[in-house]
Amino acid sequence: MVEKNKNQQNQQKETMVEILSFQIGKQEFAIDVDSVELVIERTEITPVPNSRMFIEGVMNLRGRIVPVVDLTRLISIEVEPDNTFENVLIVKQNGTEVGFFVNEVREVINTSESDIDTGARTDQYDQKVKGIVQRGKRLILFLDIEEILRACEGI
Amino acid sequence: MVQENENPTSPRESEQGAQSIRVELEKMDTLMNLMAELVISRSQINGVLKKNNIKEVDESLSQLSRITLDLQNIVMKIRMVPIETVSQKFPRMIRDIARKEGKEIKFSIKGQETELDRTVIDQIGEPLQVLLRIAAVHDLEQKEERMKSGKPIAGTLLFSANHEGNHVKLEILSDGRGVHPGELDAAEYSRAAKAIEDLNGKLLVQTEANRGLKISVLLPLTLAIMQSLLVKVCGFIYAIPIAAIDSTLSLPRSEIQVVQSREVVVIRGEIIPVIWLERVFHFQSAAQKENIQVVIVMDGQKKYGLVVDSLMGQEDIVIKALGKLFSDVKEFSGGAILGDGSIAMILEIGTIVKDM
Repeated sequence: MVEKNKNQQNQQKETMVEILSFQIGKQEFAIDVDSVELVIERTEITPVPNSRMFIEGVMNLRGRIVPVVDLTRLISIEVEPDNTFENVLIVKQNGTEVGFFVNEVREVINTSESDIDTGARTDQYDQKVKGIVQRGKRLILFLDIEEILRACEGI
Repeated sequence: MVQENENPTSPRESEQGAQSIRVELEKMDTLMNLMAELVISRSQINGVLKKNNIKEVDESLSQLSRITLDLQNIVMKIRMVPIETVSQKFPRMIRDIARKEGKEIKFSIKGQETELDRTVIDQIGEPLQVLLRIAAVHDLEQKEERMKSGKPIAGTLLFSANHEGNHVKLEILSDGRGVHPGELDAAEYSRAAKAIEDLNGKLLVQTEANRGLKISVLLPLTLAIMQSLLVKVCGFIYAIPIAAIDSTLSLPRSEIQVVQSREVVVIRGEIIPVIWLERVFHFQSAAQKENIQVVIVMDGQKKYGLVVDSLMGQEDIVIKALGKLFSDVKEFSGGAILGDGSIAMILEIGTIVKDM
């Protein structure tokens, strides 16, 4: 059984992408599920004085010190004036863990690569967006998490 | 049949000598991380028990504390390697320099059994070679020049290592003509100085014309655990390395004087610049207090007074790197997770006092 499932997955992998969608302000975003480590409720965040303005601070994640980034201060995202973030999406890429503020995590979506509209990329978000995924009326911005992390590191 | 010994370690050791095994460094690091998490968990349990006033487990807990401490010590010891691992390359290097420069150099090494944390050892080899080269190339003279100034033909160069409290002191001594500041500005030297700074070490160069050169490098025994003083600034906790602290005192705010538009205090006749941490960190300061709490820190030979809100006491903390996102923040050398799960940023004193 397990073997069979694995084979099926492998066959699908060439064309299918699993993405996790989440809401930040008025925009729905998604990133590759593979880069998501976990989603947690916001806990105490310690500020790091004199760090760049999109960094909210650091949090204690099971004994590890993980930075928390407010994406609305890195790329322009419209938010309600009284917006507060209650959840943190922990992303792990090449051994680096970074937390991102999100309002709400919505769902895991299976989409084929050809359904990602790469032509509709906005100049505003530059290389940070891979394309747009349509789900009914919802337009989901598929983020390039590697580019986002690169921007965070400032290299 | 295995013979049971009352004291299983010592007689065996003497019979068989010190035996050793090879362990991957990565496994050691994992062990060290687990150790650190154990220390944190223990403090957390301790905190909850105290908060709820539960005394029944006091004895078991203090035993757990003892075992944790012992474990921590042993893990630290396992990571220690003798400075010999790097110093064994020195004689050959000095011989090569002597031949190339046409010099006679009497080189000796003292205390090469002195042990340092593996991570420190890995990073100190190159800086030490640079410093030794400065002594051998720039300080020690050619044979003729030494004869003219009435010195023995062979220059002496000594590398020594020894423990000094929680630190290891490495010294390079040579009896040459002294080194000009220009010779210390080279990129190689700056890199070595930076490497030592990155290891939380201190570098001190003393030189006098015709008398020679003395380079001292003070290194922490380990990079992983540090003794610190926890302080509060605007509601957040910061850790100041004990190694950098001279003293602490509380004094009336009115004792701060302004000299050349800088705030200073005079303590036992010494004029000490005052640094408000809340201003360094760009916090909005709350109420104006009548008394201020000052931590006097040392940067090299200079003293500075850091103003904090309150002192919280001394604690051994496990240093964790902040990661790439904070590569532009020089005010902190890392962070530490405290017993209650909160995070304390560790002050990098050198950077904080730099603008004074």
